[in-house]
Amino acid sequence: MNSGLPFVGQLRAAIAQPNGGIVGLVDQLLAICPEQGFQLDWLNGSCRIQVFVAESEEVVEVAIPRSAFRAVLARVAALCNEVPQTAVSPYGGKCVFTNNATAKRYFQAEFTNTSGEQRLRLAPVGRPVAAKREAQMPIETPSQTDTNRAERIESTTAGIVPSTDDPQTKIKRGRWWRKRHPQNGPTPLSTIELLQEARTGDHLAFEEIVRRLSPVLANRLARSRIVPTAICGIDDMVQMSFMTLYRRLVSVRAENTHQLEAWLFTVARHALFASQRSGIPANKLTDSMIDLEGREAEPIENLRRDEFAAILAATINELPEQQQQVIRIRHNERLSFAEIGARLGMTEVMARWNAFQARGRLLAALKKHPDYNDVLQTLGRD
Amino acid sequence: MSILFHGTTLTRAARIIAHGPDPSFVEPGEVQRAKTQPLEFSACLAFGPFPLGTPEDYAHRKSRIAEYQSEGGPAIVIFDVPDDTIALAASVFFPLSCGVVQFDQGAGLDELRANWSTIKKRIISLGCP
Repeated sequence: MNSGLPFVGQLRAAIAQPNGGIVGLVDQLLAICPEQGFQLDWLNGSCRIQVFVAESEEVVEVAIPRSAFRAVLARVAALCNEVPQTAVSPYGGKCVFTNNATAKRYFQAEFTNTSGEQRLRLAPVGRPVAAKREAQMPIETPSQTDTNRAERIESTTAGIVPSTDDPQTKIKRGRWWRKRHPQNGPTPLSTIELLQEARTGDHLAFEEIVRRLSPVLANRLARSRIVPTAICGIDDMVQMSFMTLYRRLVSVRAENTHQLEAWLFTVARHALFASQRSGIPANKLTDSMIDLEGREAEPIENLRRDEFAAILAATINELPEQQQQVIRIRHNERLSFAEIGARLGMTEVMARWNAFQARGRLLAALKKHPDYNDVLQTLGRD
Repeated sequence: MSILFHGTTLTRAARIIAHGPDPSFVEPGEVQRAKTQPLEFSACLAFGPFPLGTPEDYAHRKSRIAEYQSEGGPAIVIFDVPDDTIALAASVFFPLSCGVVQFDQGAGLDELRANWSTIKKRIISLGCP
């Protein structure tokens, strides 16, 4: 640990030549934080540093712009808000947080960041109880007793499709994530990576695909023009799709999640038609009854029913990649912008902005058509 | 031109859109803005990084403060600023690689306010419809 006086010298140097802007400055501040803690106040153009050394108080002033000092406080607030179940206001609060740059040291921060007062009190603390529990959580090893794989997946699919909020499912997902990423915490694999895992016989990976995509598929079927029947409801179609996917894991061609969703949607639709033709309930249908040859459809193909939709589809294809993705997901899955942002790795506002830009270009393209007003009525606001 | 985001409340966003960064901005705990307080206006680059939190997060947290709860909920001001104005705001504390653009007096703020009427801007409300 650092004593108080070298800390002041190090802090002076950090402020005089911050490496990496305010982010680097805060990282340095945390790295050199003395054991007894310190307090920073901004007064008349200077940062007043108070360090408590052996029952005495050391006060030093270092020049720093007010906006930079306030940004340091805002950065501390942001670090606090990265801690699960912690929410501090940008204008002040108290919390315990950590930062990767400080080798998992924990700090208690108390700060005020208003126009009239800017203050930070920071001190290292012991590791919080919740963090210790998380670190001590045992990592479960996977079961090796898969005797009847197909039967198990069918029963798993049947159990998961109706309710994705089943607490058992959540427990399984958490263990599965920890199994995959024991050192990095719960970072999920992409759906296509899961598909590859499922091909190697990992039934938990397949279960995760079902958990992720079944609500998407059910939602898409519910707002399509497909009318479910008494012997083939939406749940039946969803279940049939995943059972078919399981049987055809090796042969399914999908390079991204959209293609996989489109494939599942096509299977569901064909299951319904086959059930209607034969009068057999969906869960009794066999693969041979569901003609799938060459039917992997792109999601946007549903729009290509008339001339206007063709213009729309052509214009969508000319949009920048991000705008295409946002508009396709928004149209096909009706996800919120927050969900779209999370899926595409962008902020909610960027998703909205991309959708706004895309709609502008689509409308500009459609306006050239003489029946523009009809098109608007056909497509609605979305 | 670069797109910048500023997370705030809807009422304040509307005022910023109409008049630019607000010199009479009153923060929680203040009745009136002190005349000696210099005007500051921070924003972030559209593609981040977001070391102070995302603009949505910032707007939500601001809108939950008791004094701001009647201000129409969280909102984002999106505005397109000329690169030379942004360059004026960059400093050792706020390099552009940080993702934060801090307009201070003498560091791009006057230029931003002077060009505000010609800058493309828009509000996105994050509140429930």
